[in-house]
Amino acid sequence: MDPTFLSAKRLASLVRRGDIGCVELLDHYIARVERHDGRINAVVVRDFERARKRARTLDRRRKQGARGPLLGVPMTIKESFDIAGLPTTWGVPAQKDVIATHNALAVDRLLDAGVVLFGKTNVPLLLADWQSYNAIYGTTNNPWDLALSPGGSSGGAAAALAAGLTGIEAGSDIGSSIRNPAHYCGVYGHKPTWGICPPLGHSLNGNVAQSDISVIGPLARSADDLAVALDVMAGPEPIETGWRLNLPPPRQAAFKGLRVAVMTDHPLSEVDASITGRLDELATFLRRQGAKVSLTARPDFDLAEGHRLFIELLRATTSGRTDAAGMRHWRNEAARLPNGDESYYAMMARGISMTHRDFIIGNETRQRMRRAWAAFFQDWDVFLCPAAASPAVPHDHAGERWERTIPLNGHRVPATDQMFWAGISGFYLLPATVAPLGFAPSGLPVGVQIVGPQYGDRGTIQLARLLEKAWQGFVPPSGWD
Amino acid sequence: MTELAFLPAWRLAELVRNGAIGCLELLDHYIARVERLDDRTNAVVVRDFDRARDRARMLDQQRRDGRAGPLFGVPMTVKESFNVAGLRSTWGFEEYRNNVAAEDALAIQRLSSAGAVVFGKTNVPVSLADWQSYNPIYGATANPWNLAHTPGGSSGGAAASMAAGFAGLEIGSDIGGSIRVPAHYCGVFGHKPTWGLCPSRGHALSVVAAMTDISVIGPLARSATDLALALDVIAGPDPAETALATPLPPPRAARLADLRVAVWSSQPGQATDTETTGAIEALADFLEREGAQVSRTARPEFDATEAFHIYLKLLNTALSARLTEDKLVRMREAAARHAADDMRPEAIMLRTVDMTHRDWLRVNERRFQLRRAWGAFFQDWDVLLCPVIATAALPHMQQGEPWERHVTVNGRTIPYDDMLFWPGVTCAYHLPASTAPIGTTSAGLPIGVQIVGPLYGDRTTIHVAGLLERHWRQFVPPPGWE
Repeated sequence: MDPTFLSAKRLASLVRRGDIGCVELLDHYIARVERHDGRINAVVVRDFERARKRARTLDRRRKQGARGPLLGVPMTIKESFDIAGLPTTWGVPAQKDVIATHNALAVDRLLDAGVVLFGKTNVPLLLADWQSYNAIYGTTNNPWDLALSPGGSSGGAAAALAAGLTGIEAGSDIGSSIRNPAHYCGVYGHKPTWGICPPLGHSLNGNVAQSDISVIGPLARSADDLAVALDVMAGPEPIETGWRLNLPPPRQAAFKGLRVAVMTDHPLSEVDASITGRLDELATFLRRQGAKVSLTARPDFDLAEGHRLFIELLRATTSGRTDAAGMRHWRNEAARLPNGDESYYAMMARGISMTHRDFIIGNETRQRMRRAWAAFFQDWDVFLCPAAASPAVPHDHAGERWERTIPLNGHRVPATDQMFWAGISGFYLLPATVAPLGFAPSGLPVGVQIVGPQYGDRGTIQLARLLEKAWQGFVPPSGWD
Repeated sequence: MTELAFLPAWRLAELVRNGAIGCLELLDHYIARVERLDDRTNAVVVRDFDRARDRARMLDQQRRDGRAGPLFGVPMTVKESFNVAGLRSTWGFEEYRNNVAAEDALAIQRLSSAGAVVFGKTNVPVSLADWQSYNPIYGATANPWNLAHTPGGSSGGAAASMAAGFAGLEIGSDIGGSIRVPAHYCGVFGHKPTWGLCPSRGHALSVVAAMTDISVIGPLARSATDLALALDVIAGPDPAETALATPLPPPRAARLADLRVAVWSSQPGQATDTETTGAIEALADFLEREGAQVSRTARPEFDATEAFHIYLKLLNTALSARLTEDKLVRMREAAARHAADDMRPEAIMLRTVDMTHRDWLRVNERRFQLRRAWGAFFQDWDVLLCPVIATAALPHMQQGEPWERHVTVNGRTIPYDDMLFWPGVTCAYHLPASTAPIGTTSAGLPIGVQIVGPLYGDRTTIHVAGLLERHWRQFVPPPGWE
């Protein structure tokens, strides 16, 4: 059997049963990287020799009875995670020769679960784009169409999975960086509830304080894999001895009785008809399956106000890297632009130069909105919406991100409009799983964002699992055999 | 029955459970004391006797029907800043004089479910921002040990109420020593829990939903056992946070002889009264004699001055959202009067007035690095003993803003805010800290010790407070409060 596009769970079971050895499986994916990755440039840091050594050790240990939920699964991981002995650059040229001395906590946990890490995958500069190109590693292409971006910032991760270059992946997400590439490449991704997966060792400067909104989480070719990897990555880090994670089981085992709210569009972010149409079809399908479906149920607060607050607090949260000159610039810009200016640029300027006092005041408003979401999820089990405004877009490296536009519905809209779909879950710290939704007329994959209540991670993954069986699963792009 | 007033809450609950005293009878005992004696201290500034009596009667009925609870029948006063439905919540602000809470704070709900009978609220300073407890609405609270002295703050009414035998148990809050300092000033026990362990919903003037950095709520009592009892009642996630459990680890060591104790009784550059340092050193000598492993030099691997300055910045920025425009203007003016390189605490705090979130992130990152240094320190040591604050209870001092005042320590005059060192060097890092009485000054004022533990090591610090209570010193009522 060709293992290339199997789920990590299936790969682990092949290894467990002795149907394939760890070295043999690793070599299979290494051969594929060597043969195919020239086209997409996804696996930009390669660590084959150490991986082979580890695979040999695991083969031996397996024969001695060693077990692990991901034992023997070859894995690549987003470049931004520290792996001792490999570079961590986040695409910043000045970081080119920085070699990590320790593994990220998530890397250690995945290794304990038995994975064989053999490379790192590409990212945009500072992980701040829905594309994945930088001066160190170049540009990653989408395996579905090389003229398109695989998304970002975990773009190399999603591309490697879709092209069958690896068994499982892990990425990070503060503004859709797991969800966007999963959607663009037709794979699965899970953005966990904020705080349950410690990001220690996922930081450019060795920072130890957790960043607001930002999370780490898995990408995979199957919903099952998300559940397995989440269990591996979640739980307090050793210094936090006083709390224990106890994620509740999914509320529903089947479609029947599932309470589903669906939102296909919003005035702040127009969505391509290929996505809204397919979401409508999914709503109809779910209804036929016995789910209770509403196209109008919404949390009881102004989502537009939430979006504006999201952009300001997001940009405040990522302002730590701004130097003194940059701060002067953004302060001047914020002062220059009228208060009522709600362009992304103006909100960004206000966010970067925000006082901590204003941050606390904004955070309080966010907290009340989180309560409204919690009340909403008393009545509804999941909230379905787009992961982004369109299917994968052509490479566009010109200018700044906030100046770019993307094509949809026959015209162009600002690329940053779709930040709305990043914030609708992420800003409120909610879990969100992206699962294949189907295909646009162009043949490109599109995904659905499945949002759940805080700590409802198992519920969102469970719906992805149900949809995988009954609606749409992972389909490999053509030309990657 | 005077002794009854000074019993710990766990004993009161036991008497009720055994039927030795009724809930109403016990409540009336404390109410009578408040009516007879509180004129002197002015601690219990909001009184809710009639509703409390109704509730006590109901509990008496329920007890006969077999209902129980860890605090069943224990009369309780609570810090004014907690919302209690139907009672005023002013935080000492004139403009909130008529602010009546619509529902109980989560902690009050939990204490009531455990059987406590809340019959009043105790005094605070304006905005809970002082180590004294006076305000234009309720006036000043005095220390039962010496009425010319403050009981401390901001949970000053709470500590005074415990020391004077006005209630069985108390609950306060702490961001800069507000549980620990009054407990120390009044010779009672207090516990500042690990940050985040006890949800503070309903401990807010307006309806604040987000948690305030560093700020915590926690119990004050006349016994360490009561701290453990009350902590179990108020700890644990807000029901909205369903997936997080907080199974606190048990105490690290059962006996004094098994303890690894670091003692930090004074710090170069920080004023600490010699009587306070001496009391802690005497305790260290005792622990050594008892067979504990004691170090007087072990410190976390950080620069204590930096650790203090990080606290000052985080404290002031955490509280900045509470500031009025008028106060902001005055702070800006005051900041401008200080040189940019002035590293005195008040200058550092004033300079945070318009701190960007970007700069806060940098301070926060350093805080989390130092938090890890504390974590490493507590790999080697079970608890740290240090002063709660620079001196024993101070005389009333109500002129000007705190940052404009001065105090005399060891004959040297220092700015009031310099005293933030001992409270802040631990709580900026979210650590649990119990306070236990360990001695008195030559003037007869109580001295307490701060027992600091690792994150979530609350049971360890409370257990050590209990060991000291058993083997070193227990709560002693002030003279003249029979």
